[in-house]
Amino acid sequence: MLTDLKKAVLEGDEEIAQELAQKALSQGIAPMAIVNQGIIPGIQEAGELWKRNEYFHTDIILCAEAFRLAMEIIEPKLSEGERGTSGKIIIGTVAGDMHNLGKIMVNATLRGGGFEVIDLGEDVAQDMFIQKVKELSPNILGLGCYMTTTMLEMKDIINRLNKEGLRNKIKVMIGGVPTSQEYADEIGADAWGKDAFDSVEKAKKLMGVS
Amino acid sequence: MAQTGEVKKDLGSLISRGGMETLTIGAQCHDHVMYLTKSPAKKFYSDFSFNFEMGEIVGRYYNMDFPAGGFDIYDLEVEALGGKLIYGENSMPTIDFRYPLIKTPEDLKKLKMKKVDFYKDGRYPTLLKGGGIAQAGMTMVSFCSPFSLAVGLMGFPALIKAMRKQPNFAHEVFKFIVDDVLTPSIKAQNDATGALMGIGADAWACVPNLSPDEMKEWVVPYNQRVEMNAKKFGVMAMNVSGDYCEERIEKFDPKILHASFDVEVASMGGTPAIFLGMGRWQDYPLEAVRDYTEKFRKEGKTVSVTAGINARLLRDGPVDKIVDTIKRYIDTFARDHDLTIFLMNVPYDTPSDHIHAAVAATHTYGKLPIADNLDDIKLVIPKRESFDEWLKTEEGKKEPPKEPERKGLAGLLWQQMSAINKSKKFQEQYKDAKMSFLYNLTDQKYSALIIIENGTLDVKEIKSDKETLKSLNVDGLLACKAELFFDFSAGKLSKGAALIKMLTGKLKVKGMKKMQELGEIMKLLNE
Repeated sequence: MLTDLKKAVLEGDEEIAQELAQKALSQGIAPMAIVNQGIIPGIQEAGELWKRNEYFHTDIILCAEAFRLAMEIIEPKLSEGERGTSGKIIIGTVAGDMHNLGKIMVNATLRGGGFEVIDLGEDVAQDMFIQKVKELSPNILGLGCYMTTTMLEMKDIINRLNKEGLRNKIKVMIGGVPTSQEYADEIGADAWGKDAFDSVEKAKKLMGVS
Repeated sequence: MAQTGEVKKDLGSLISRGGMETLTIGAQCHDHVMYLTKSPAKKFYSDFSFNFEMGEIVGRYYNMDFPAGGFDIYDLEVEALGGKLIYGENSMPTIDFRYPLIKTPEDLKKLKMKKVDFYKDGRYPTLLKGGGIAQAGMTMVSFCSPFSLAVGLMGFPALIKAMRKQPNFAHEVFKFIVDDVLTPSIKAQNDATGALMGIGADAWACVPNLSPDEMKEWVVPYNQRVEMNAKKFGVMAMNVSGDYCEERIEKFDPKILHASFDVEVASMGGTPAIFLGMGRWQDYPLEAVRDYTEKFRKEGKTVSVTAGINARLLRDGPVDKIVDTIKRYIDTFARDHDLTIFLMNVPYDTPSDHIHAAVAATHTYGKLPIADNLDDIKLVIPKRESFDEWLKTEEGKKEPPKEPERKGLAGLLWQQMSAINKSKKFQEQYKDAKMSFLYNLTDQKYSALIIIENGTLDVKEIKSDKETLKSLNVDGLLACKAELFFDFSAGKLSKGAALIKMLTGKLKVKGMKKMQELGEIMKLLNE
């Protein structure tokens, strides 16, 4: 059954993924086993297919959606120690920017990489990022954007983190079409994710987990 | 054109005028124009006359061959349909994807019932007043291509889901977009500005967002439907779809690249025109592009290549890499392709030095004819004043040149013929000549009158009403519908077919000898 669940996630079949996740739970399979042997392998294999040019964003988006819905069923059953074993990440698209395609994929790959992800959504004000960092003490703050005007917000947010004395308590990752490693260096971010699968690798590196 | 040199109908060729001394460079540059001119975002993106004026000034500052600029082309239709946009204080408007207009088939039904007026709704009045996109030096129709507009109406994930799981619904959405949104919006622009050409923007339809197969199934057919619909009222509407934007260089795959070029060509009405857009072209192997264009070159066709400089490279530099990329483009393509350099979506705060370097590199390495060995050419990048300092100079204070308005075909012909005025041979040979030609597009509001007098060529817009046309006494005349004109001018009509059109009155040609002479004059552009 977990093989079928993996297949459903991989193929982006959200209804079947949800159904199988539910079925696995009712058959008494341990929630963590469902996640590790069914759901996560699906998104991991999608990553491999992506690297081999067999998957495109269309496939990854559907896969991410199936992953999200399957996880919605399993996550409430996980114990505290089983969640977010790689670390806690807050992500959001910066103010003035409504784009969420990249964030949807990053959200799934990060969770597939064992992170607890708190998604603040799109058009997130600086104050909201700061407030949530204070409130939730994440390990990493992930900032996304799509426009060359809104990317400037990222610099301001990092400056705010500095001002508020929070910067040395968290790592900052950035991503999105107009960003680059050079821009990450320029504004003092700790990492740049070139795509969803690169982002999870970089996040793990920042956290020192493999 | 058969008589006057082929009308070029791809973006690169449109901005690459004949008779130039160097290759040309243009830019999609709106955020940066807004930044340099310190324009308030709301005004910049809501007053297109102002937007174009600022683009013209910045284009002159950078010594570009065309006004810099552009605008938020992806959300005009959505806004007119009632979609919510976010107007940032310092950024261009963007669709609020949290509230898509179409979530269900019922939403589509409701939207179909909605009366949308592309003369009055959203920001169309200011677009129509501004005269369409001026980036190619003439009025053009602007629109968001079907796939990107579908994303704007539904959001990417929901659209993809519909394409995979509710294909009938997705097809209905695309048909609605083409027939009920794009066709009337293109028609409104044609009516208001006389524009005969349209370029659709389609950044969402690219690799790796979609696979080439998905684009062939979902993008190309609807692009062709737009083209077909618009052709009926005389507008050539093409779409810039199929851009190859693979971020990971290790994933670069020539087969996928070539398949994406197939999408580009099919979306440009079959014209061999390719667009090297937002991808990492500074790192991709350009030989793979030549491999693709070989089949066209073997058939004796000139392939148009619009070669983009990546936005992040432009912003981040270094200058050496920007220059090297342009030099490499020129060395690879300029001798046997129709090459135009294009700065892609220049970021807001791009250092001006980077753009000056790109322009200098294009004009220096791109001096025509292209040198055998570009390494023999010394590139000097001029030390330039800041934009603010430039505004205080004589050049910066100059009023933008006020060109007479040339609506419709007149603008198109002027754009491609005006360079003849630089030809010494033309000036000498025709210093005493006086002749005129009327190109009458019978289904358009405006026709074009070409006047050659005292060694100068001018093209004027002429209203296509009977009285005006009757009052003209011309040496040569060509009269037909716009669709036939474009087929005729592109050499798509055989001599036999042209004869039949003439016999049936669909094509009128008078003063054949003089028309042929005009054709000879235009050949001087290539000398």
